[in-house]
Amino acid sequence: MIFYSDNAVMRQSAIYTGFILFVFMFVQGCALYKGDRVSWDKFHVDEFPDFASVIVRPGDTLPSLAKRYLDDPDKSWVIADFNDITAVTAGQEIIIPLEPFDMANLSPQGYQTVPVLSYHNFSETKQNLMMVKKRDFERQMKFLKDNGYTVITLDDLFDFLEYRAPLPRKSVVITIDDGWQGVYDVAYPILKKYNFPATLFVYTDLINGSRKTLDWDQVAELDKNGIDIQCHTISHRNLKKIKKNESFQEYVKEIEGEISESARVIKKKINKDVKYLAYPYGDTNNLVIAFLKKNGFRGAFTVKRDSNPFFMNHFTLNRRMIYGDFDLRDFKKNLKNYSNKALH
Amino acid sequence: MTVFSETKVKPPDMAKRYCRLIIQPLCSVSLILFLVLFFNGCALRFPPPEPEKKTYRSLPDKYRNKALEHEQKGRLREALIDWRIVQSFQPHDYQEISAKIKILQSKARRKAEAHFQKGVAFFHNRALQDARREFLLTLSYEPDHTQALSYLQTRLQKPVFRTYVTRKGDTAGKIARKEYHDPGKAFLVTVFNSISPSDELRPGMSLKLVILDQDIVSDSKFAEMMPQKGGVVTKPLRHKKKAFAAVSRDKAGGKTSRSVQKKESGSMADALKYQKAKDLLEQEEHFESLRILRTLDRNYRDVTKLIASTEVFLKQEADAHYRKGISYFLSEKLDMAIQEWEEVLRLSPNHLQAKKDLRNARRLRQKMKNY
Repeated sequence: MIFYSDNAVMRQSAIYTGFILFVFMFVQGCALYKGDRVSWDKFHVDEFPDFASVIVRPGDTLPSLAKRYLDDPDKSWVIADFNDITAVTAGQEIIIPLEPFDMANLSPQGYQTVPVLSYHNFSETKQNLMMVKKRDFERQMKFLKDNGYTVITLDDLFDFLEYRAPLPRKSVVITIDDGWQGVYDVAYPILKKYNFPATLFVYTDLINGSRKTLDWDQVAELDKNGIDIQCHTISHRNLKKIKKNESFQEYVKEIEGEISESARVIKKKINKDVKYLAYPYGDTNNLVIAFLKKNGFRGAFTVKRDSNPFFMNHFTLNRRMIYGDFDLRDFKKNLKNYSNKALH
Repeated sequence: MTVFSETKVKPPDMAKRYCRLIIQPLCSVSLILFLVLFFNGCALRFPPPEPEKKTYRSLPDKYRNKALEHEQKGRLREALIDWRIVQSFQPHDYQEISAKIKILQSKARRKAEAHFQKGVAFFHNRALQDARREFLLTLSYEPDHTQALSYLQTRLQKPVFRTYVTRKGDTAGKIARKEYHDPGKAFLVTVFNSISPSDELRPGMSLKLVILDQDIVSDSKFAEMMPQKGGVVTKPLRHKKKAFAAVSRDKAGGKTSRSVQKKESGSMADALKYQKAKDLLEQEEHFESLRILRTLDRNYRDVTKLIASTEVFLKQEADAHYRKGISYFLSEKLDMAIQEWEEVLRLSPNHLQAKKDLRNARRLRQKMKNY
């Protein structure tokens, strides 16, 4: 009894103490809360998004500032592009746009364009038009890294094309066609080293695991590790041309099959829903595009050598083929990211 | 023991005493503490104290200069952003900047509207490139101009489908005959509208009809490159590019015909060379392009035409350089004249007049040096 009485008092006292502690912490919490993270740095522009003016503190970097102000360290390019800088130093005064405001870097003088590079095969030692030597590919990727290019995914590109999200000014997309073994042996390790995403457009007949071609396990592995697998038809037939002795109806049936069946095979083999296609030989026509739309594709690529502004037709996007005999000077010519052509 | 017995005898008294001596004062103190801290907390929260204002040394001037520069270049949207940034630093001319911002805003709106109206007019006159330019300019002054964006993203794009509204008595076959001039294309009507050929078409239904390109025709040159049915190559090997795959399959024990491989590889090589030559032309590498084109069969696609046009271009370029050389020669700029004529011979190695003049000019330069 005695014991219990003592305990009841102690318990009561503990409850009171806990309550006081809670109230103290709650009130202190209120007292310590100082509103939004950049309330005094932030100012509002009536018809434009918010910006923050910032004096860089010791230890700050572009990613750390992007993490603090934009909640995403990968958005450091927003700060770099707006201030036209590549790094920050303590004491430096900068402006940080807190919301996207410039969808296409469009002015009366020009607009942003995005180059989409197109590779086919790679080799340790050999080179021809469609086969890039390991040493050259490494140099090209190093050039992109060293010169401030951001390699983006196709999803990023399409957000830009739909005028929904801005991109780093020096953006570039890497695509590879077909599905040769050189992709796995040569390009994949280099892309991994530089942490660059890429898209592999496979034509499913080629994925047969012969000595020179990929097998589906490799394709699945690539897809899980930053190489987005997309569609390049079943047999790589030219979708625009009717074959000799082929009726129009047979042709239509064939091209529908090339599109829908290749998507089905990829889904079955690696459980992936594809939404982009690279036309074999870069050739297309309205009928092919109609079937792509019917099958839910978001866009498709030709091999017309040009970069892509935001107002491009999503089903006739340009790509720049990178040949095996390109030196770094040729490669640089294919990274054009600004144009004024449509404004003249 | 005594203690035990005391507590045992009067437990409620002890509890009351505890309450009086410890709990009640503790409650009072905590209530006071709560009130003090609560009001203190509220004072800090609503509103938070204004932190010390940072002093920016370079930003105000930097953005003022940028604003002026952008204004000069007609980049009104950027100028507006810059002036807003300047204004946020509470400069001495805050009111003037506010007035300037209002003027710029209304100027940008007026410009956007003017370009948009022009764009619409061009669009209706089917001057699509001009329309596109005007809609882009509209967006450059007013990035959220949804109508201009809609024109750029949809109405200025090549249409894939057109809408057909069914009438009484229409069938897929009749529509195909009317629209495609071929009742055999009825399946195109059904396939894109999820209807079956036997479905009765109610009047007033909206159907999507794919707009066929003119060039969906059999390309005999291309078709010749295709392995034919019943040939050595089986169906999966129906494409010229499969030649590469064929080689690998052959090594793995397949029975792919070497002759077909050779033919297909040759075709593929030609296609690649042709593409490369065209790429080089786009990059204005005419000389190299011509070299590759000359290695191709003259009957391959438009190779003859490309060679001819490139040769004409190079000849015109060579003539222009030759005339420049003459002009330098007459104004006694001998080195410049020699450079121009050397360029002529690079572009057109058989340019006889340039050869002769270059020889004379070099001789003359040598004489002058000796003199």
